[in-house]
Amino acid sequence: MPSKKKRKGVTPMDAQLKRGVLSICILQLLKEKDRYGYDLIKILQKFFPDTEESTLYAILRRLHKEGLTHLYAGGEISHGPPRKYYRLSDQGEKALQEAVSSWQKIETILREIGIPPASL
Amino acid sequence: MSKQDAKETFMEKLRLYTSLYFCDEEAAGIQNDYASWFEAEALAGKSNEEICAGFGEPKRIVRNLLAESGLPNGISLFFRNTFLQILFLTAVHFFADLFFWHLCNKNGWNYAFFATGANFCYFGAGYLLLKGSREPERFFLSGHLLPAVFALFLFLSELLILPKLAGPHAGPICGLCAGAAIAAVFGAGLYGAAKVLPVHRQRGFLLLLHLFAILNLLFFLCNQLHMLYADPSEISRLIWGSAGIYLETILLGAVFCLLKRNAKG
Repeated sequence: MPSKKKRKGVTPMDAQLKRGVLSICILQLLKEKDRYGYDLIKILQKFFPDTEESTLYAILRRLHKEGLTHLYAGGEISHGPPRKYYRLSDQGEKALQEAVSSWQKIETILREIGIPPASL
Repeated sequence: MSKQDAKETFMEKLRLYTSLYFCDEEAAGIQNDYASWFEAEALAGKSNEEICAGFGEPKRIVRNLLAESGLPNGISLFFRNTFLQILFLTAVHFFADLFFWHLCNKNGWNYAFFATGANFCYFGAGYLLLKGSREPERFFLSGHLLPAVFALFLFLSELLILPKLAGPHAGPICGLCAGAAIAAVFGAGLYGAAKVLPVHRQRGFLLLLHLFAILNLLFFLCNQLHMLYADPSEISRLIWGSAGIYLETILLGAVFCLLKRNAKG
């Protein structure tokens, strides 16, 4: 459960905002191609090194529970359970389009009130 | 910590925490994901300690999952989680045993009949709960016979030591020993439940069935001590009562294993 301690001011990236960004990133990566769950987490960790693997995993599971991805079993590794691959569902594709369009609107607003794109 | 230990400790903790907060299906999914990632990381040449450090603490993994998906509805979780159901059943069995034991001691009744009845009900309810669960092969020997050897040891000790204990302080000494043994068995039961039950439901249930037989055997011993010292010849009743309680458990455990084996076949 997240910490209940409230921090004043604007934090580098608010947890809720970060979750939203991570969700968009996951959906975008899955739009490119189907991916093994752990590979997906490893790719995201390169971009968000401060984020725990378990946080990324939790978001991935939530997206799946919400029906935005499909799961299928892929190639097995020796002595282990089969690898699970994630595929973007139609619902997921729609959600990604909506999220990207919302994100672009936010970007436009920030630009209009004087925040240059490079600092976004 | 050895290489094997780090992985096993991690998986054991993960199984325990996921069994407490997720339904059977979800818990198995999370456990399988981590087991498969462990393999993938090991193939990439990482040590188990490095892999565990990367994954983070199992408790934290479960916290993050709950933070993302929200706390489960308690009632709906209970009906879809055999681990919690078995724990509940075990608690009911324990308190029912305590109640009947107290009742028998108060009224001078023979506790053996209540103990065998309670064990049978526990077996029946447990079998129904675990009807659909699958178990890895060869759970029969380790799950059923090992505790039986311990019980045999306890039974033989009772058989050999009790007749020699006639004396002014024999009653309190026996009572104290039985009390200590009950506490030890209860501790072992909790440990067994925490360690075995999240991984192997059927093996854990068999272990608990045996532990309850031992517990009831000791309750019966305490219940019957007054008869022993009123008339030394009554010891045969004590021995046969104890044997009856334990033989019932061995029989029920064997039936459980055979039914499960046939269901698998």
